[in-house]
Amino acid sequence: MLLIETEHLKRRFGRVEAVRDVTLRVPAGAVYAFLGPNGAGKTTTIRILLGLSRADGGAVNLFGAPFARKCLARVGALVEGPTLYPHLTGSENMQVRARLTGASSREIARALAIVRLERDAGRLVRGYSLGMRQRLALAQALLRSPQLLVLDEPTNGLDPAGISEIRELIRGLPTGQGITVFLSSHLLNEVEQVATHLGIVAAGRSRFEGTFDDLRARRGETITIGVDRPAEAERLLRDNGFTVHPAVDRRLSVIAAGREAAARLNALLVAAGFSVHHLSLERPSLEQAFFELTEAA
Amino acid sequence: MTFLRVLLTEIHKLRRTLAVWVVFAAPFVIVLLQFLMFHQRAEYFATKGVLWPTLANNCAGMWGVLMLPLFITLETSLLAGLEHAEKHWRHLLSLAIDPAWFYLAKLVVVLGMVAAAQAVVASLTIGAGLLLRTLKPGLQFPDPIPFELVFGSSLRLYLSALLIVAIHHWVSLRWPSYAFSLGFGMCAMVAGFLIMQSPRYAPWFPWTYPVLNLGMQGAPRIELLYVSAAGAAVLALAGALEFRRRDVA
Repeated sequence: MLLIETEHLKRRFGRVEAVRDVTLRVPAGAVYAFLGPNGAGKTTTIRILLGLSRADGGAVNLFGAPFARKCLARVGALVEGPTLYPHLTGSENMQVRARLTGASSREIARALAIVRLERDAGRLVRGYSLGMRQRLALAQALLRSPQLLVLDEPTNGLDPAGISEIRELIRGLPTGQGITVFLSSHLLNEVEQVATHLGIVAAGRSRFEGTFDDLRARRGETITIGVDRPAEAERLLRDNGFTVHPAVDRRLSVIAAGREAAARLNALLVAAGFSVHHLSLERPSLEQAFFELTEAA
Repeated sequence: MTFLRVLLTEIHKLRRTLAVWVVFAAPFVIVLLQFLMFHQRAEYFATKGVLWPTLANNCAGMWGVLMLPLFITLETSLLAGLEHAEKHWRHLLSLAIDPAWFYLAKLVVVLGMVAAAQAVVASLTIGAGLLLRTLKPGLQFPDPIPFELVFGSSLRLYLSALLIVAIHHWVSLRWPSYAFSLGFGMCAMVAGFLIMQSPRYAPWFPWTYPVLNLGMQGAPRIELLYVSAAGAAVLALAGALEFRRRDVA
């Protein structure tokens, strides 16, 4: 089942097209990373998903039905950092949210336990560190055991220890609590360790959606060939339909998929009388694939 | 039921806030000033007679003209600031609750606080009279204590201020800047001072209603109470409808 499904979302602010064409499919049980550079339209898309902003075009389905405010009862959200009442204690902040959502004191205790804040819940929030605030906001989002948790840049401003803490929390949610997580970030390496699915957006448009393996496979592999007459070899390979990067240090880089392609390349060059002294196959890093997708926009 | 939940949450958030202290502090300042004036000029007031009406009118007049518009400005700005300061709206309005309930619940809280302040003004006025009777034997505030006069004028002031509350509530939720909200209230109050001199234009400017209603510019304009109450109700509904359609920053 798809918990979030959007079709060609659009949103414009004056002359700025913040979201031009965003299509998402978030399956139940996933940790879905919604990636894109700053200003790519991630937050605007999240605002639309949460009913904070209206789409100018396209459609949003939550839990298999067109968006309706009542669907939000099954969603927990943390948008653009924690928003807490500093003059209240951690517990009082939880009570504010619990009253609004109808959560019980047992659910408050459970949510505080998940984020490991039971001991500090009696302190005023103005004395909390940023990491504690983030965890308390996450506890608020986890009240009433939502089916879907929407987190917008949840590690923004945190130190490495805080980032690691939040990452561990998120990683355990689908299996431990049965919660699907939709997580936005502009840092690929941050989500790589927790996410199962990936959606990449750039300049307001969806560029990719799938698993990390899909992303690697989409881009193909790099075959590096060392050959005696690189310029002639480059021409030959191009004539045979390969994507070839110009020679560096008498070595050519060819984008192709799989060992079969490498073997075919080698056979082609040897048959044409070239002397092949190096051949290696390299899988692209996710970062390379991500940059190619976002920079192309 | 949902509205009640939102309203209780709004009240819960008032803990340890300046907004609650102002409900007591602002009336206290005004009544204290009147108390000191009566205390210092006891002989003058003793010869003048009609002590309770004089004290009640002075307190209500000073409160209604000087402090009430400022008090409303401060309270609406402080309550809206609770949400604007940390951008709470984006989390409150991503819940499965109609945004209009948040708008209306906050308005009810402000109205409650203004009502509480009016009650404090009236109570302190009576307290000041009784204290003066004890401290200054020349000032014999007579029995019976005129509860009806004091609380009646407080209620009229309250009703005359409803439209100001509704306008200021909309302004303070519409613009997140605390400075803008305070500035708007100050400008409106100063404009009220000027416009209340004009019998022609004063009834069109809500900030003059407390003054006109108290009869400080000609005969008391009781009909303005209806204008204030009806205008506040219309503006509250319009504001709530506009609020639910608003994009959240």
